[in-house]
Amino acid sequence: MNCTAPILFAELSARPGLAETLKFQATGLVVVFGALALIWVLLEIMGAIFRQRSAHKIVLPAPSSAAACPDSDEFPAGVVAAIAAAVHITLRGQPHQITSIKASKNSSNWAAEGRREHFSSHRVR
Amino acid sequence: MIQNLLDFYQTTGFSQLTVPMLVMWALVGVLLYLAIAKGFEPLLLVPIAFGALLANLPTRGMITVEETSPGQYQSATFEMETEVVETHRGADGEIAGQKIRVIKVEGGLYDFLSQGIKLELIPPLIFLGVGALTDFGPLIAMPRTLLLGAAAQAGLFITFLSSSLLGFTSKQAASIAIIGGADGPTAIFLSNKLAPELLGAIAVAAYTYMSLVPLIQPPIMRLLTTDKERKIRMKSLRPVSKLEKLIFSLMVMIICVLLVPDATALIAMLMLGNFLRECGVTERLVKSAQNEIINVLTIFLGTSVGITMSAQSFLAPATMKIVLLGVVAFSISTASGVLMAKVMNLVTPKNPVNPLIGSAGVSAVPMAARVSHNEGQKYDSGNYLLMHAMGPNVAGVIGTAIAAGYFISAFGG
Repeated sequence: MNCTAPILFAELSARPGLAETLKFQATGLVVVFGALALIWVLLEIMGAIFRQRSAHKIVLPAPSSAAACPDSDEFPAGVVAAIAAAVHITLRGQPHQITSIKASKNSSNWAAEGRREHFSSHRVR
Repeated sequence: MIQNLLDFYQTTGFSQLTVPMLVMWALVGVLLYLAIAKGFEPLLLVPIAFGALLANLPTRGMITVEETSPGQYQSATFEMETEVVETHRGADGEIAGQKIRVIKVEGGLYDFLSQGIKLELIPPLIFLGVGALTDFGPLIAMPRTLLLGAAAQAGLFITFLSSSLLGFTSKQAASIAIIGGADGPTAIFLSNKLAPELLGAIAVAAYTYMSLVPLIQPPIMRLLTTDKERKIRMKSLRPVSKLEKLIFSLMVMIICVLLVPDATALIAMLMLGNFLRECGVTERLVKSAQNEIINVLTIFLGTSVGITMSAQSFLAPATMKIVLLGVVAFSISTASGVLMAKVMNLVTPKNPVNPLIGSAGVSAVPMAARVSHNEGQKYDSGNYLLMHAMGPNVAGVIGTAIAAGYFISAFGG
C-alpha cells in the first residue's frame, strides 16, 4: 500500500539556522536510537522465550569425555576435542570412553580403510 | 593535404581532449591502483574507475550530459519522439489528458542503464543480495550491540551540521552526511533522491572510505581505548535458532517500515533477501541473490556512478568539500561507536563489551568487523572478536537505512 504520510520531523528549509539544524539532528538521533532500541527490547523478549524453550528440552549426557583421556597431555586441546567429536559421530552417539590417543607408527590403517570402502561400494562378481 | 589532415583531426576525439579530462585520467589511475594493487573494494572501485574513464573520453553513444544551468549538469537523459493519438478535454475545454504513442527513443547505452539508479532500482536490489549474504545471528544473540550501530549514526548527524555550515543546502548536506554510514547503496539511494548533482562525488567518497576502513579506523580506535579495554574478552554467543532468525527478519522490516516508511525500499529488500536465506526452502533464489543478481547489479551500479564523474562536474570545489566532509563523517561515526561501547561498560561492568567492536557500528560489512577483530588480536592473540563485531556491523546497516529514511521524510525526497 502506498503511504502518503505527511512530512514529519519539521520541514527544514534549504538553508536552516543553527538552532533549527540542531533540533533536526536531535530528532534524527532520537528516531534512529528509538527504532534500534525498540528492536533491542523485542529481541531480548524473543531471546528469553527461546532460551526458556530450549531449557525445557531433555539434555542427554555426553557419551564421551575427552578430558578423561589419560594421554591427552601430549596433544593440543583442540586436537583432542576434534578426535573426541569424530569418535562420537562415528559411533553415532553410542556410550564410549576414550582411554588413550596415540600417533600411529608405520600404520597402513588409512589405506586399508580406503580400500575397504572402495571395494564395499562395488558388487564384486 | 595538410588541411585535409587538420579537418580529419577535428573529427577525431583527440581534438576534444581537455586538461581537466587528463586530470580525471590520473584520478582513475589512483582508483584503479587502490583497487587492483591494494585490493581496496575492487568489486566496486574497478567499475567506478572504468566508468569515470569513459566519462572523460569523447565517447559517442554512451551517455548524454547537458548543462541545465551554469555549473549544474544533468546526465543520462534520452530523447523520445512521440505523437499524440488522443486528447481528452474537460468541461471547460482545457486539455485534461493525452494519449501519446512513442515512435522512437534515442540515447546512449548509459542513458538507459543509469535509469537503474535514477529510478532507484539498483540500490534496493543490491540490498536484496546483501540481505541474502548477511547472517544476523550475532546481532540476535547479543541485541544490545544494536546501540553501537545506533551510536555510529551520530557521525551522520554531526556531519549534516558541518555540511550546512560549509554552504551546502539541507538536501545536499543530508546526502553528504550519509557517507558516515559507510553504506554505498544507501548513500547512492539518498543522494539520487535529494542531491543528484552530487551523486558521483558522494558515491566515490563513500566507496573510497569504505575501502580505506583498515587505514582510517584503527588510529581512532587506539586513541579512544586503553590497553586493558582492548583485551576484554566477551562471553560466547548463544546459538540462534532458524525460527528466531525468521521472526527477526519480519519484525525488523515491520518496525522500520512503520516508523520510517521512506526507508521501505531498502529495508524490505534487505529483509526479503535475509528471509530467503534463513527459511531454508528457497536455495535457488538465495544463490541467485547472493551471486548473479548482486554481481550483475554491482557492475552496472559501479559503471553508472563512474560515468557521472565527468571532469566538468567532478573537478569542482564542492567535490573537495565532500571528500573532506566524508572523512569527518566516517571518523565521527567510528568514534561514536567506540565511545558508546565504553558507556555501555560503565552501565553493565559485569558483562562488558570490548570497545573495539564499537567501530564496527559503521556498516561497511564485513570489513569494519574484521578491523575490530584484527585490532583485538594485536593485543590478545587469543581474543576472537569477529562474531561479536558482526552484531554492531549489521546493526549499522539497519541504522543507516533508518537514518536515510529520516532524511527523506524530512526533505520530502
